[in-house]
Amino acid sequence: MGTITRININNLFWLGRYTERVFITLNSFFRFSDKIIEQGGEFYEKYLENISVPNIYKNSDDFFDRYVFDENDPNSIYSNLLRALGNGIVLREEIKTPSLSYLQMAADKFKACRGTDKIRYDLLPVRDAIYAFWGSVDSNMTDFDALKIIHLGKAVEHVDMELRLSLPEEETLAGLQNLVKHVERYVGQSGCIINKVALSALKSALAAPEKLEQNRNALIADVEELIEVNFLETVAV
Amino acid sequence: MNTPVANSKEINELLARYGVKFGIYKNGSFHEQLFPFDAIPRIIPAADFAELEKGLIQRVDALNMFLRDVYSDKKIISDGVVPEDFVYSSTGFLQQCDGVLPPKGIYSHISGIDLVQAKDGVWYILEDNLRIPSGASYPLIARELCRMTSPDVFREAQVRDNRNYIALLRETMDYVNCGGINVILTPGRYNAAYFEHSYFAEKTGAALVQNSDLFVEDNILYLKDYQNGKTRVGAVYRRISDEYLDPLTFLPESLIGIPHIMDAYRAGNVALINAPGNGAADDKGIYYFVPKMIEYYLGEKAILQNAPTYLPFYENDRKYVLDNLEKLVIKDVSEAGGYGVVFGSDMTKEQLADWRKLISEQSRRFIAQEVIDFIDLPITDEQGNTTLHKADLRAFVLSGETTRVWCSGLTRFSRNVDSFVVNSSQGGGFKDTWVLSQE
Repeated sequence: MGTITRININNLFWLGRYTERVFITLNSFFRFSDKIIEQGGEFYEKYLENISVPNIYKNSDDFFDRYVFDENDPNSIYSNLLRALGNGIVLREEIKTPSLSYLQMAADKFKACRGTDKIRYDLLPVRDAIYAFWGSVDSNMTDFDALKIIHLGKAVEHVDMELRLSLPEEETLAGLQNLVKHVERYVGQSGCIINKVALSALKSALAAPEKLEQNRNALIADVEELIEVNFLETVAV
Repeated sequence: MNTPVANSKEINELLARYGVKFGIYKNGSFHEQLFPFDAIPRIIPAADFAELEKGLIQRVDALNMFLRDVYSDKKIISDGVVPEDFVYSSTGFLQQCDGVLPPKGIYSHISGIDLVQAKDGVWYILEDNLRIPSGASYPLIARELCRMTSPDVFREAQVRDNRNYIALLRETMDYVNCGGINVILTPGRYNAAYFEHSYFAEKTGAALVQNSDLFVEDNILYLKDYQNGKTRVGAVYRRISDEYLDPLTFLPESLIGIPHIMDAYRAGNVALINAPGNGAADDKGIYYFVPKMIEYYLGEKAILQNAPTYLPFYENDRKYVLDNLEKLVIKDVSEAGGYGVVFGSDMTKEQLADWRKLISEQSRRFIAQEVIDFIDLPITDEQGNTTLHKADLRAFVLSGETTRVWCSGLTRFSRNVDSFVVNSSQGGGFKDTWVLSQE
């Protein structure tokens, strides 16, 4: 591998995680926003419960505003996007300026949408920018090992969120399979520490898909513990 | 024509999109803000630039010779051209660098020379920045974006392409590289110029590193990667101050820095860009002596003039300063970034008296300059109205195998119409600087 520093590897991993978190929560929020047209805003409590986010909101209006846009709410979609951007900013030389610009665009557009009465429509360009970000890192990054670490973070977050959001089992299992494959193929060379017990548990889950539902919470914990990057003595931005 | 001015809004949006920002600390907390860009360029005719180029090369060559001299034979002192007190009492002179010759003998590889143009067209040097001058990235990326929004203008106008800065920078690093990779050493994400550090790393292919990424073993500097592998480093374009480079040489109480990096440097195993100790030559007090240095080392008259400057350290100058304080600008030699600058014309009677006392008591601490009525440049506001603001020019001179002047520069303008302070940290903005290729 080239000259990826110890600090960068942590940022690469978390860049992947936060960007994917924003993407999945945004999609999930879009689906939720559609449902409440018939089911009413109070349905938000159920949504929060599903994604393990504490209900700190006064009512559905407060939820729609703060959960989506409040940069001081650590669970808000926007604050997660700012964390993705923060990791991207310190990785400009790895991910390249065009990739970083898509995160910046996403953040700027997101911020400008606060207060809108057509939230799904107005936030669409944010999702487009994240798609563009993924395309850009794949096209522009010249250090493939660094790219793999971003994808590893993305794969971890993807499964984590799918499990939390109780997405269709087929999707979750596909994500899980992708994660295990990624870990087995690449992580050995990436410098991340793999928790072998957690990996073994995830492989067992793939071998017994019918038990996915009953093992959901345990699997979430296994995914969280799968990769250890904190040995780098840094914290995610 | 689809001019940059017509596309000012779009260009500023693109600058935001590309994260062209600078950081500032206000009331103890970090704020990142956009650097306001004005799309009307400063235009320098070809003949003017040719003269500036000659003068800047002459000046930087002399400054490099001065640094080599004061850290070795000190002939300029023994010959009485620069008083001993002025060199050794400068906080920029580092005893720890005495007797150390940097790779290829170059001290100031990247020099930021601040100039202003008076209303009669004469350019004056305001100050030399030989430590870690920043700002080249802003006109560089602004030009890229202006070419995107206003291609016709660049097809028609005979503007010299400024995008060679990256090549100049890389050549400068490569020329002094002692074997190994080039790195850009940044204090981190919350440094005012972090955008520039990361942008240059991306464009030059140098690794962007922080203190903890580097270590020294047997007088060789290495970059450690995440697998505890090591890669030799041959040149460090460091964007941190001298005193934080090596706690074993400078500040023992410092928790940052790279232990023994100065040993690797002294052993000639790594180039530090710019060399530590350059403050001995860009001290505001030493500025006064630069025309004398040019004559002393090069046997030539200075092509570019200093702003008329007085050193209260000298009795005659002190008398003049005290007698004429109300029309002079006073600068604290240890300050930078537009801080420590006061105008006599802004002072009350009591303040003038206080300053006279202070200058008399601490004469080495200050210089005084005549206020140059430098030209105003037009700035457009969001409504499209144009107002005139004071503006300076930071020219970048790169010293490697030869000394070269970048055919552009950072034009900074004051935030307020009546202000002379153009620093970004004080709310100023910037313009691109167009150098014409022909008249």
